[in-house]
Amino acid sequence: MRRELEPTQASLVASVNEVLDALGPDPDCRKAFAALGAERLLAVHYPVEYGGRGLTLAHHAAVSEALGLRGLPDVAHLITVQGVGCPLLTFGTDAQRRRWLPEIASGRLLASLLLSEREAGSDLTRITTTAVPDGDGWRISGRKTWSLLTPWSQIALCSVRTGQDKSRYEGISLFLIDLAGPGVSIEPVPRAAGEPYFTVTLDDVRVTADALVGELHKGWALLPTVIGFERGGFDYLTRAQSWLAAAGAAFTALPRVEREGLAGDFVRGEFLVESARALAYHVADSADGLETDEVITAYAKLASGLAAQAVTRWAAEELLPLASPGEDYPCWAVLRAAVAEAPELTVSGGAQELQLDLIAGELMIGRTFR
Amino acid sequence: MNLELDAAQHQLIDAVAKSEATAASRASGWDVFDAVGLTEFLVPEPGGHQLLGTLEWCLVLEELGAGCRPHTLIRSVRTFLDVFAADGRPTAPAALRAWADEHRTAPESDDALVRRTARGGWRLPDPRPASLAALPGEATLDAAASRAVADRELLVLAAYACGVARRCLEVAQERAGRRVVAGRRLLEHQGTGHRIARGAVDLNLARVGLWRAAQGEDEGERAGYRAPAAAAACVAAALYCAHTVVQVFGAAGTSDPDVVRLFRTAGALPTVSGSPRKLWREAGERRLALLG
Repeated sequence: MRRELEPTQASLVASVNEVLDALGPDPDCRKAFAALGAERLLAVHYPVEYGGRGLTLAHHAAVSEALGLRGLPDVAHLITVQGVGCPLLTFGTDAQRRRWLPEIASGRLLASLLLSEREAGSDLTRITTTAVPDGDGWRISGRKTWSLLTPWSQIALCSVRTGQDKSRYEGISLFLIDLAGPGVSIEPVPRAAGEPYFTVTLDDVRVTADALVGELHKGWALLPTVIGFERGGFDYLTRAQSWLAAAGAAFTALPRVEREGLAGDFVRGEFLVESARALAYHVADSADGLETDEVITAYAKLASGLAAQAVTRWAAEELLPLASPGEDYPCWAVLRAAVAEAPELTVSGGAQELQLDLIAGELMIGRTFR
Repeated sequence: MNLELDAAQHQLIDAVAKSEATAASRASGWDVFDAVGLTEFLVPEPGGHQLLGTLEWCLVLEELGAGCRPHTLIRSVRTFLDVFAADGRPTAPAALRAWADEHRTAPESDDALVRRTARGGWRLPDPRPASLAALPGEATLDAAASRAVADRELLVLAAYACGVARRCLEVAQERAGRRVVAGRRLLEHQGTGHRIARGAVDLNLARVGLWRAAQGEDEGERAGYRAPAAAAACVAAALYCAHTVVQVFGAAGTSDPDVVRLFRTAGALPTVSGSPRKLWREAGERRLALLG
């Protein structure tokens, strides 16, 4: 058992901070990603020939955490490098890997995931977007939603129905789509807090045969790679850490008598976040290449989401009511935004019910981490 | 950062679990542990190392908690050793590995001494055997050292609570996987399956915090406020899981001997450790003192 980051992970974190420090306060995110990409820090687990450093998922996890803690949109990093890049790395053709991975690793190209639909939610087998053969390519029509950072992205990995089978898991395929191409329109979905979602309408969008990622009709088997790391909970973890830091700042600023009454809750938040962090790192560290165990991953995602929610619930119930009128420290603003965003953490990236189902059926329940 | 135990630690768990599974129903935690054949090695040779670090004791106590074995005696022995025979804590895992490598069985020597002492009413012999001769005549602990001993004691008790929680989940899951209600296995009803899963999440979060604190102790970093925090989380998990197993069994949960034993064992934990609420408060007070 190792309680701290190993030296290479710590060194990567230091390098990330060095690059970001050089950019000055609140750097433009695209510039930041490009600067990190230039130092091969965005996709350290990619092979060297594709712009990475040939390291492991655990090293990538350390970079993800560092980016999140610096306030960069770690979701962009996560979706592009992991959600789109790793399926290409694992299942893509040589031509696809050569074409896309160096661009992704360089930070010059951002990508989105188009998986869910309004009637599908977390059940990604219920999609109705279809692709029909068209000469040497395909034509795709349908409406995808709950996509993040879509206007930033140049391409998207999209799941579609290419056939109907007795099994709902068959007949799903994955295609890369040019988001600037004809027939693609993007609309924001109004949202209370957090990064906005987008709906993407695909109206007879033409793609060539080389846009297919993996085997035709067998896209379902690729999805654990697409969403596995997202479900590892690293983006939720860094929210939990940032929100805990804000709560800690608010707590520390309180009069002693108030702090005495709330100190137990503060320690509880710290305990949950620290434990969730250890679980999240364990997921990455125990990965087989890019594949993570789905039950361990379920634990980690839930743990990070629940820890973040526990911190915000405490902030909403105990800390924010103590904020004096007119007192507007940055931590109060962070906490107000966190309270609004927190409910989503057990919804997005696969609703918590999916994780609970996986854990309930675990072969040796309660022994996963022993 | 990871949570991987090493081979020797897994071997220790397996040995204690096997002993627990085959021990008589009325056997105490100490009896179960004694049967593993480790007790000879608990007292270090002069200049030697403790066989079991705090983390290893936690692994042992979790197995005993899973069997609801009485834990007073074995905790007393551990505390006795903590006070009188502390030595080389950071290298404890190395000593454990040596044991695991050699598969040695316990001859009569210090093993007997520890057992006799632990069973009460025995005093350390005078003159002492060679392995204890180097120890001070009386253990005098300052406040900080006493607190550290008490914290480690709280950690192993928390580990016992983890074992209780785990067994509650195992029994609940087994029952829910077997029993069919309204045409589906109980486990497939989200109300049941998710309750069990939430217990598993609570347990793992608690156990991870516990292990990190215990390993910190073994690496020379005092657990401090993390000890009551871990105990609070572990005892709370045990209480939640105990309620869950009763709920899964329904009315039978109030009479099934195994379930009742689990429920009572979990219910007794706060009497020994303090309630989770009190433990969080203590952790908070100690954290606050650190913050200044």
